[in-house]
Amino acid sequence: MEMIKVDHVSYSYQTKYCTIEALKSVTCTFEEGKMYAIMGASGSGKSTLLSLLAGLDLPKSGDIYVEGESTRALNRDRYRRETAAVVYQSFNLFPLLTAQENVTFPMRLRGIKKKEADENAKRLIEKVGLSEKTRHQFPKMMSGGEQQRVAIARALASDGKIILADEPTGNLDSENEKNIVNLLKELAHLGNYTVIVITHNPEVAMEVDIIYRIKDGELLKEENYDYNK
Amino acid sequence: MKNNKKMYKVMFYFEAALLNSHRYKSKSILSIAICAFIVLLLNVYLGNIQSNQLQLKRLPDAIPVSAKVCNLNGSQDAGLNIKEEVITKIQESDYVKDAVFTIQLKMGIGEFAEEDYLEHLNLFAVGTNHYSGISGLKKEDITLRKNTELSFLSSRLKECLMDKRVMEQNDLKVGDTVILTTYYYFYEKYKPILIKPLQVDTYKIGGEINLLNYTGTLVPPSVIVPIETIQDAYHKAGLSFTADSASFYIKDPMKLNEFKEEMQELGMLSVIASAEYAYDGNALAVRDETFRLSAEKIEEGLALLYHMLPFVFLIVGCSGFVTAYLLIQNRRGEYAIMRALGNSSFGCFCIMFFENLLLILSGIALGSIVVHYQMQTDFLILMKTAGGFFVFYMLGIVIALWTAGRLSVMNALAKND
Repeated sequence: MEMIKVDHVSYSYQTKYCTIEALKSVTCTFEEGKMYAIMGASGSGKSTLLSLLAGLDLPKSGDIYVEGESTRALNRDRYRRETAAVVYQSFNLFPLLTAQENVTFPMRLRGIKKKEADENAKRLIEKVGLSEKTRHQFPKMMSGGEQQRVAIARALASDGKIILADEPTGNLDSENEKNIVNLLKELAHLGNYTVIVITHNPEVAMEVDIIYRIKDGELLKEENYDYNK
Repeated sequence: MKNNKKMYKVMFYFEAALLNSHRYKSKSILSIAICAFIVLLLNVYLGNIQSNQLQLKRLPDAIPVSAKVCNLNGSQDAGLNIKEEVITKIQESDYVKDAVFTIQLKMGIGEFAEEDYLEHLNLFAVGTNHYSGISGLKKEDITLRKNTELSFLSSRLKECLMDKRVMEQNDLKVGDTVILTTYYYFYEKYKPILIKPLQVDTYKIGGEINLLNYTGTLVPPSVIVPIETIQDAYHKAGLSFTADSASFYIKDPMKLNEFKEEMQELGMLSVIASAEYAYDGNALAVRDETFRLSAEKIEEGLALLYHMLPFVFLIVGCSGFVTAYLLIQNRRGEYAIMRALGNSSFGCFCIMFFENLLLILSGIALGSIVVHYQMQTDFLILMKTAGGFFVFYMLGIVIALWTAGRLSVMNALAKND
C-alpha cells in the first residue's frame, strides 16, 4: 500500500550569494512494509528530501502526500508527533535526559500519562535490544550504537508508521551498523513500517528493498532488490 | 479524554521545565544569582528614591521656614506699625501657621489722671497671643495660677502675667486682680513717637514671670496681656489697631511661591535695603534660604534618579533578554530536537518559558529575602521592585524565546549532523 507519494517536488533555498536548487521536480513513492535507501553524494539533496518528508518544511512546488493527504494541509507538528519519526546520524538525543526520558518525551508530548509512557518506554527500549541498565543512563554514558538504538526507540514511541533515518549508521562501527540496519529492516518487514534511510554507504543500501539515487537535486534511478536476499 | 490529554501535556511542560532547571544545575544557579543580585540593586536604587522622597516630605519639619513682618528697608522687625488688615489676612491665610503678634504698651498699676503719668506709668507691657512673641522669654520663666493655661494669651480673657519683682513691690500675688491703666504708642511719619491713654481695666494675675534668667536682648516686659483684649480696647476707643511685630511659619514650605503671591496681593513687599527708614510694617522677610537650598538639592537628586529609572528598567529588560538569549542559544539543538519530535513552537516556548519563570521567581524570592533581612526595605518598595524586575526581565525572556522560535529546525539539525 502506498504510504508516501512525492509528486514533482522542487525545493530551493537562498544563501548569501546565490539560490541553491536542492530538489528538482522529484517524483517517487514509498510503500508500507518496505525499507528504502536514498543515496547520493554530499549536497545532492537527499537530506532536504528527508526534511520535507518529515514535514520540517514544505516544497516550493509540487506536493508530498502521506496516506493520500498533502503535507500542506496537515498539521505538520502533529504529523511529526504521530506519523513520521526521524532518526539522525548524530542521534540528536536530549543530552541531559536519560534513555528512558528521551523515549518517553514524544509520548508525553502526545498527552500520555507519565506512568503509561514509562511502561511503553521500557518495552520499546527492550525491543531495540538495550539492557535494563541502559534505561537510566544519560547519552554521554552510552556507546554510539546504544545511542542510536535509543533514538530508534524514541522514533517508535511516536507510534507512527514512518521512520525516516538520516545516515543512521554514519557514526557507528561495522558491527553496530549491521545491528541497526537489521533492526530497521525488521521494523519494515515485521512491523509494517515504511523505513526510509538516507545513506551513501553501499553496504547499507544492499540491505534495503528499494534504492533511489539523487544527483544534483534530481532523482535519477530506481533500483529494485530481491526482498528475500 | 481530549481534555485529560491536554492537562497531561501541560503537566509535562511543567515537569520538563522543572527537570531542565534541575539538570542544568550550574546555569540555573547562575540565573538565580543574577536575578537575586538585580533585585538587590534595584532595591538599593528604589530605596534611594524613597529615602529622598521621605527626606523631602520631612524637610518642612526639619527646616521650618519662618517669616517676619518688617519695615521696607528691613532694619526693624519690632516696634512697627502693622495695620489690622494685614494682621487679619495673615491669620486667615491657608499658608500660615503659628502666627504670633505683639503690641508694645505702657502701663501703670491703679487708676490715675493723665497729668500724673510720669509718676505712675512705669511699667513696660506687651500684648501678645503667645509667650514666644517676647524674645528671650522661656516657658520655664513663667509660673501659672492653678487651672490656668498659657493659651489664655490667645483669648479675650482679662488675665495677665506680671513680673515677680513688680508683684512683690506692689504686694500682689498670683490670682489677685489688679487695675491697670494702659497707654499706647502712637507712630507718625517724620514725628517722634508719642504715648497716649488707651484704657483703664481690671485684670486677674494669671501667672508670674521670673526674669532673673532672662536672656533676651530687648527690655523685658513687666506685664503681658492677651493681645485681643488690647485690640478690643482700641476698637472701644475708636482707634485703628496696629501691631508692632508679626512673625509666623509657612505651613507648607513646598508652596512657598503660592504663599509669596498671596502676600504680594496683600500689599506686602520684599525688603529693599536702600529704602527710607519707616515705622510701617509693610515688608516681609522670609527665612527660606536653607530650606530652599536643601529642597533643591534633594529635588535635583530625585530628578536624576527618576530620569535614570527608565534606563535602569531597560537594563533589567536587556539583562533578562541577554541571559535568556544566551541560555537559549546554547540550547538551540535541544529546541530543534523538540520541534523535530513534533512539539509545536508554542509548546517549546512554554517549556523554556516555565523554566525561566521558575528561575526568575526563585531569584526574586532569594533577592527579596536578602533585601528584607539585610536592608529592612519597605515592603511596598520590595513588591514594586520585584514586580518591576519581573515584568521587564520576563519581557526580555519573551523576546529571546520569540527569536528562538524563528530558528530553522532543518538548519539546526543539519548543524548537529
